[in-house]
Amino acid sequence: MGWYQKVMEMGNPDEKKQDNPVMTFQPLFENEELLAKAIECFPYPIEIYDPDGTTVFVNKVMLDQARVYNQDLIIGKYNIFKDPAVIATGQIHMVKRAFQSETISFTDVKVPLEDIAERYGINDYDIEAVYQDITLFPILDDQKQVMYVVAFFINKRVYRGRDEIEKAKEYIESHWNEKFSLDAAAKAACLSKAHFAKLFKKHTGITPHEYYTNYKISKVKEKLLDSNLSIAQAFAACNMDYNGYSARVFKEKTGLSPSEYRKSQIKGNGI
Amino acid sequence: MGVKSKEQLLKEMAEVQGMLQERIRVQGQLIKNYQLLLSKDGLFSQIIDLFPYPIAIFTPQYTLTIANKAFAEEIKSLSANSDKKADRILKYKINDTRIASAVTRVFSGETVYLEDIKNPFSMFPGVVKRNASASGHYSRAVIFPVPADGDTITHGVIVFMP
Repeated sequence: MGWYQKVMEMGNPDEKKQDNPVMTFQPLFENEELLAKAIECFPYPIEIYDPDGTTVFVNKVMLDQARVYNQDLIIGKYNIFKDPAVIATGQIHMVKRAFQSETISFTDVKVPLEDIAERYGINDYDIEAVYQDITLFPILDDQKQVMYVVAFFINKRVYRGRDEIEKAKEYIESHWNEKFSLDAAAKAACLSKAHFAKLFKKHTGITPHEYYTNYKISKVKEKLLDSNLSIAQAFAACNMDYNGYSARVFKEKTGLSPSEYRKSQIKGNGI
Repeated sequence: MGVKSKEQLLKEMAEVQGMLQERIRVQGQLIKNYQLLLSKDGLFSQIIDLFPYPIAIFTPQYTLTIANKAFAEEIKSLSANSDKKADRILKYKINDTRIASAVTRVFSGETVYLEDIKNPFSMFPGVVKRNASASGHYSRAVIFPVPADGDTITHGVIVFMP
C-alpha cells in the first residue's frame, strides 16, 4: 500500500489533524458516496457488467453520449456478449479475457453508432463518427473470482458533421500509418481527386498530404515521449525511416530536431 | 415591458415544466445509480482503486484525500525518498501552468482536458525532478469537479492518461 496509505494517513493538514494523525485505509471505504459521485461525474463513459456480461451500471456521460435518456433500457438488458456489433469485431475472445480477470485494452475502436441508434430508436445523433480507446478491467472478490468488469471509454477522435472534409479527415486519421493515397482519401469523401484536393485546401488551408504529414508527425511526437524507444524506433513505429529527409520534415513541422524535441519535453519542468 | 399574451405564458410554462421534468428525470437516475451501487458494498472504492490510470481526488485547499494504486505506484517509482509526505497537489511549482490553472478552475465547476502535458507528477512532493520525465507516458489529463448536494464543489478529481 506504501505511499497510498501515506496519503490517507496525512489527511488534511489545513484542518490540523495532528491529534488524530492516522487515517487508515478504512476511510476510503467510508468515502463510498464521494467515490460514487466521482464515477457518476466522470467525464468519460463508464459501464459496469456482471460476470455474465449484463450491464449493471452506466454513468451519466455514457447515457448522454449515446442519447439514451432512460438507463432502464440498458441496465439489466444490454449484454456485451450478445451485442452483434461486438461480435462482428472478431474481438469477443479478447473481451472474454477481461471476464477471466485480465485487464484488456483496445485502441481506436470505431463506435457502432448506427447499431446503437437502431437498438434504442435514436435519430438525432449530431456526430458522424467516434473512435475510442477502451479499457476493460475486472473487480475480483476475496476468492479472486470476477464480481464485475468495468469498461472505461476515452473518446480519441470525434467527427461532427457529414461533409466531405470530415469524412476525408477521418480517413486520413484512420490510415496515418499507411502510405498516403490521395485517391483513397478522395474516394472516402466521395469526390473526384481534383475537386477533393481543391475543396480540402479551401476548407483547411492545407493540402490533404500536408494534413496527413502533420498527423503523422504528431504521432512521432507521441512516440518520442517514450524514452524506451530510440529516435529511429520512434519513427519506425510510425512507419517512417529516420533519415535526413524525415528529420528535416520533423524540424519543419515542429521547429526542433527529434532529439531537441525529446530533450525539450524532459526539460519541460526545468530539470 | 408589454403584457404577455396567453399563448406566450402557456409556452413559457411548458418550457419550465419541461426543464423541471428533465431535472427530475436526472435526479431519479442519480438516486437509482446510488441505490444500486451503494448496495454493492465497496464497489466504488474498488473501481477507483483498481482503475488502470492514476487518479487523485483533492479538496479546494489542494489537499489530496484519495489516490488510487496506479497513482501511488507512479509516485513511488518517481520518488527518491518513500518517507516523503505527499499530501498536497501543486505543492511544488510546475512549469506547465495549464495544470495549475485547471486545478484552480475545477472549483468553479469547469472540466478541463489537457494534452501534451509535461512531467505532471513533478507537482507532487517527493517526486525527484530528474525522475519526473519517466512519467512521460502520461501525457494527457482530465480534471473535473465533484459537486456535493446542491452546487458546491467539494472535490476535484485528476486522472492521468497515456
